[in-house]
Amino acid sequence: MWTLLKIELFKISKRPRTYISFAAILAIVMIFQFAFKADGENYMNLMLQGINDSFQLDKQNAMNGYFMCYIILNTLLVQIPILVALIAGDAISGEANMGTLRLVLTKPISRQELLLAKFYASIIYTIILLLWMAILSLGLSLIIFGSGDMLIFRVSGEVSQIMQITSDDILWRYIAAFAYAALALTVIVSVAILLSLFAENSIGPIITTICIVLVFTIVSNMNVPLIDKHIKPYLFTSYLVGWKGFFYIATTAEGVPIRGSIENMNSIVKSIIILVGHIGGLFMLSTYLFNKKDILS
Amino acid sequence: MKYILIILSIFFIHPTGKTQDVNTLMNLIKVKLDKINSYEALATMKTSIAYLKIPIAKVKVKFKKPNELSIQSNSGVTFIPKGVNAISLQNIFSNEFTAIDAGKLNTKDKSLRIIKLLPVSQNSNIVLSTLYINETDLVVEKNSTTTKEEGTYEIEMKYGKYIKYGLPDKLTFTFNAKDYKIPKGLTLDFDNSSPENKKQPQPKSSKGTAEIVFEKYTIN
Repeated sequence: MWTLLKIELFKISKRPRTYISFAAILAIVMIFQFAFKADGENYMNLMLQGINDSFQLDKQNAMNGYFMCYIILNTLLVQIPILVALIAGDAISGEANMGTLRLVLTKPISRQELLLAKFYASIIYTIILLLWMAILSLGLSLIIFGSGDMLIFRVSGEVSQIMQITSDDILWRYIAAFAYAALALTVIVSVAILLSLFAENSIGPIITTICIVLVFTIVSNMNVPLIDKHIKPYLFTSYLVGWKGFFYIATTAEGVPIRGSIENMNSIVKSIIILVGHIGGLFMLSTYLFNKKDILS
Repeated sequence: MKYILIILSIFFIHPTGKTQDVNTLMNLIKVKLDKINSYEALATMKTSIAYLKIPIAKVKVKFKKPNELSIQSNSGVTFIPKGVNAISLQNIFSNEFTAIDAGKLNTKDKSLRIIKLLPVSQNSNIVLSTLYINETDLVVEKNSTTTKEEGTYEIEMKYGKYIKYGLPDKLTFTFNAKDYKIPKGLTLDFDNSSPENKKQPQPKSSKGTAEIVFEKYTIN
């Protein structure tokens, strides 16, 4: 299995498209950092409209590396599935396209082992991509903007809120958030690998995965009561932003944040269970279909 | 004729006597506060308002005669209510005013003299201040001020070891603040809020409080 995994990782590392994702993340993060360094105060003013009249606040202190990372993740983690689909969607269909799938399966390995190796390789790629993102969005932002307490702007139900997390209580939340993001992106890997079973070239599964993610994300962000109640709970994209739950800090009855706490841990656990369920279900379906597949190319 | 004189004396002599009394009291407090040229105090500030979930901040309160007061955060991001400079009573005494006796407020353990202050200058930001004064210790225990620009705010003060300087150990500043609303699409939230939170309507306007507990004063 380890040998198979190394071969799959080697294949991924030799594809030019692998590095497109890293370059894209580098470009987007640096554009964000430049924009916020140049004119971040306007963004802060937009988020603090109404507050400025009632409170004095050092906005430069608030515009720190932790806050920047949150803003970048807020934007990028919606786009990252597209980058993940580029690799995972190619897993089986890429081999089929080159005519190597049949050849590979003549070796003394089971189809399940091959699929598992491709699945693990795609997950490792996803984790490396997230680490790259963490280094740039958190590490580089902390160097450029410095550290400090972090403000979270949130709309909960009908209530707009600003939550403040002290600087010594943030890092573990980011570690948890990135771990959650890895799990959420593994669902995308599972979808892309499943779709790649049906195609003879990579474009189809990649585009289909991207379309599914886009349509589901749009529906997940619609604020229509009917959709909220009957559709959103069944879309995996509703749980992709669950990483934010680690930043929703619990407060005392007087509204003072409790250090090291999470407002609604049950909701995060529920999201994790749903995501794991999706991964398990999709992978089992992929294994079943791959075992049944009549491989002609 | 005798009765007319008695009635006139009630109308003219009595109020004059009370006004002098009020002015004397105000002067005594002013003299007490004037002894302080400047001070620095380490304090904690707990700002409470519906839409802010922020920790208790460590702040440094600096005052310099005649009425320069600033609150600086020791670390992190601190939300300091605008108008909080009014916690300095010297701010009130730095303006010319007309003092009017408004009676007494009797509580369980003490009696407070109520004095209303009307600024003499029409350009003053303060419209009306109502002070609740502890005559025994010569300290202002409560101050309710209506301003032209910042609305009405209230300050309640609890005194302790710095009572001889007229400086409080604990102070609660109540102020009006505008409501806060951001478009939902801007935040892309993970909707994991509790059912109680979802039912809460957005408040139209909010009253906030800043509770400042002074730990140590350095008085000059």
